[in-house]
Amino acid sequence: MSRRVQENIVAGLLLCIFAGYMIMCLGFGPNARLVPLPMAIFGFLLVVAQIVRQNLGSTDTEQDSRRELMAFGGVAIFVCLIALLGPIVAVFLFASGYLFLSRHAGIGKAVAVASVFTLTLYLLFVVGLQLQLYHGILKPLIDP
Amino acid sequence: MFEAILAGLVALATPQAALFMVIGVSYGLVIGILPGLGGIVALSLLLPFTYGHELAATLALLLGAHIATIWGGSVTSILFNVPGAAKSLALVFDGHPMAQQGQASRALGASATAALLGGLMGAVFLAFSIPIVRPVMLALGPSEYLMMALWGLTIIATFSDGSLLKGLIATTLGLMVAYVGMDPIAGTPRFWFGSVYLLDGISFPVAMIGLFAVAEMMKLFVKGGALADRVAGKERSTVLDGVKDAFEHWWLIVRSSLLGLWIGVLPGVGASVGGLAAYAQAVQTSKTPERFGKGAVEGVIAPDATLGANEGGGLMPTLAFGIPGGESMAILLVAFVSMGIVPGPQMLISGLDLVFSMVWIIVIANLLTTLIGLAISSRLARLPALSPSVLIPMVLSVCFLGAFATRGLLADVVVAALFGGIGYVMDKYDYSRANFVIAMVLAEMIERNLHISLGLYGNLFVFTRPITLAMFIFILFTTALPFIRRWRRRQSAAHGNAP
Repeated sequence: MSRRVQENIVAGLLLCIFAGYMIMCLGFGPNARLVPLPMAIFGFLLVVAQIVRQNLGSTDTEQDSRRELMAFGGVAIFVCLIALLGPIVAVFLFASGYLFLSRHAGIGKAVAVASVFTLTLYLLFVVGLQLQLYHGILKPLIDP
Repeated sequence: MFEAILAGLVALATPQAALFMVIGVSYGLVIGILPGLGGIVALSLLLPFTYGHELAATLALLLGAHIATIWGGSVTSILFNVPGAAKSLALVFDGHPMAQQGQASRALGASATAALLGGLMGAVFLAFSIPIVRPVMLALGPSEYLMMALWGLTIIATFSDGSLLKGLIATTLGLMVAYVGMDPIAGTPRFWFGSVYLLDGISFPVAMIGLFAVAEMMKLFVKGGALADRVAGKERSTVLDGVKDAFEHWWLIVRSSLLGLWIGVLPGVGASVGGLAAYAQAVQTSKTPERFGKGAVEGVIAPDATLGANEGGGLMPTLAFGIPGGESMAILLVAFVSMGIVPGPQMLISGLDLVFSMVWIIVIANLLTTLIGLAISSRLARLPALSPSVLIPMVLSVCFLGAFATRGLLADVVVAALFGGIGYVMDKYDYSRANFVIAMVLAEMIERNLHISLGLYGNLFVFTRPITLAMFIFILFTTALPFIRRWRRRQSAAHGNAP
């Protein structure tokens, strides 16, 4: 996908966001929309100007977005793991999986490093900060 | 005043404050040395740890880490030819050639001493500016505060790096995101989509973690490869040589520090501009400008003194007016608010002890950074060789656990991830994240003061209050200035090209 197409997608999303804000502002009272409504209109107009501006230029380049998709995917997987299994188990699985899949370490070393790291975070957050842990959506299946 | 100065120091004389200061400085050095991370990521990751401790100790942790990251970035620039952060770019020009010539220790010594002296000047400035600023602040009303917040926003948007239009869009988007939740005046729920979670608004610490720390890890993954490679000659100097150099160029340090203070006070003119401006003035005022770029020690001293002094200057508007000078100050402001510290006139009256604690923290943190940094810089210098494969899962884990720890909500983890994506996209397409964050921080100040001004002074308050009117005209002028300059440049270019 070319850089210009990507820029247009981003600007299009921003346009939708500001348009959405404008429509929602109309449902508020005069005090509640006093600042957000003019700001949303201003933002909308700025994005329109940006779209015009970025499509007037002549240069454009092709860009490979595979690694970016992987980065977004990685973050999404990590969040899903936290939701399913809770943060501590998710950290262990993500860290060991990442170290192994990135070929930085063999499975044994990856598990060992991830274990030490997870234990450190456990001591820091759960013991030190006394964080009330969330055990994940799957907990009732394991421990009914 | 004297009691406040003393009370500020006494508040730091607890085991917890001392421990937090050492932890903050050591952590800041490590994060600062890792290229691409820097002070903003360091502060974002510390936000979950700001609850439930002594106030002065938490401030020592935050400010200590922030100050240490600045010099950490200089170490990376000197040893690896990779700026630890954008603000350390100027250190690359002469710092790295010195390292290649076997004078890395000398460069590090000069850099640390210059940063220390600059930092001390920043602290002294902050202490002396308080009695001057206090009566001015007390004379201002809500309409003037509104104008100041608007000025902060417009100046940041128009003077920030990259596209002006994109800077303004990022600013507007930041304002809109901050308006999610209850309206502060009427209590009307806004942009909440029926979600109770959104009624409280977007948590600032969580948004910062995502916008900077998560986004930086995504960038690191996309970039791939090692963080930095070191190319250095055989060492032929000592740290003491650099310390002597710094004292020999004391006048350069004074000039550069004053520049750093001025840049720190101005919102929107970031420290990255400060480092380059300091380098430029060092070249311009040198009797031997031809040495610059080839390993001149003045090219290391000037930017570091500016960066050191910048913090004291930046804290002044942050504490006095609640207007952050840059993205790091915006994150500090978020931390202050979450700790119950409300910047503004009241801060300099009832919270003067705390302000002087910050002055002392700047002094002590600068001293500690220099001492710890110089003692372990050779070991720390191995950090950039760390593989991203180790760094990414570890930092991401701290990010998400940190986001969860702020309120114990899974939704905060999702929001951190979302803001990570937003931060990555903004960075890639040059929509300034700094503008976005500063707008988020200033949004409530703008809305609250607008409503109060309308209620107190009527709809035409801008024209009925002379100081407000003068400030309004000043805002229009400073906002229009870059557009006028650009138009003039185009005009002169068109005339120049005309046959």
